[in-house]
Amino acid sequence: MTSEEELVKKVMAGDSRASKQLIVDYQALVFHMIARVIKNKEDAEDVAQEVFIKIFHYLPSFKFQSKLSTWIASIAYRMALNYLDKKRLLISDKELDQVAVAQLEKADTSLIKAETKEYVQELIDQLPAQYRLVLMLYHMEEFDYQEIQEITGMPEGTVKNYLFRARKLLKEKISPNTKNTLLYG
Amino acid sequence: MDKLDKEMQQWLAGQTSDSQQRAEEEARYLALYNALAEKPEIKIPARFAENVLKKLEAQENPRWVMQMWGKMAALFIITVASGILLALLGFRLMEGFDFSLKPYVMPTIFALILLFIIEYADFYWLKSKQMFRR
Repeated sequence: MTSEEELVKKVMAGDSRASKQLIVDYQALVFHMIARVIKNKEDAEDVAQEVFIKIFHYLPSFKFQSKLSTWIASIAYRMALNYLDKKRLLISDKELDQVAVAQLEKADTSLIKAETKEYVQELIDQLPAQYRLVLMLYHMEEFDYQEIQEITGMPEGTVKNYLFRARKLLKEKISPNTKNTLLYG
Repeated sequence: MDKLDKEMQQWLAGQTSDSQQRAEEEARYLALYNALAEKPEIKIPARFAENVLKKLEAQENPRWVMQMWGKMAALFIITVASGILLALLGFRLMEGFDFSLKPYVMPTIFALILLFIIEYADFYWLKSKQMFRR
């Protein structure tokens, strides 16, 4: 039995220490996903709490057909997009590129010289949520295409396409002046 | 690093054959890749796990809903009673002060103190159930 299975079994048996351990183990993943999409700190915390409440609620139906982290990320992904949908901030797939180009123009260029890495983060934050989340899952959380497909429910081709388009948009915004600081800074 | 190598080769495939331009493209790609790999620091709120567990417990235990309704009913009765007493006191004061007011003063003060204590206790009780944000 893996440590994940053991942990889940203990949580379902009502072990409060195990429940706390599950939250502590996965809170960084959930917060990274939620905070990428929801900028208001209090709302982000509320949504993150709701994510864990859903996790505990649906844990008995988790059959270990995927990694626990993939399953948890899929709940966080759906709740983050639901939040945007409720706030009418979710951009339709057809408009993603158009909105991304317009939003990237708004990025704070004063950061270019000061903190280049921050500038790239600022650029990422300007991307539509769907691009942002796929980029984050692939590069920062290091999920593979198959896992991102499970998390987002998008076909693998769409995941690859989103990654390609998002990186292309970002790369075009990185000027040759910024690259050295990023590489060696 | 394998992931990076494979992707970079894919990216560079079909790019310019000019070596300087190619080097620039490569550097730009690496720069982006490095920046993307860096997780921004995210502060997790203090006692997050404890707060989730408290909220979960409150949701799973319907008793607190009954307690809340009980408290709401008590608050309603006391609020109405102290409101009536205050109104009576007000009307009598408008007619001018006299010693016949005395019977109204003490019950009104008691009702208001009771109301204050219940409100205060209720606030802390609801806060402990995570019904209010910090």
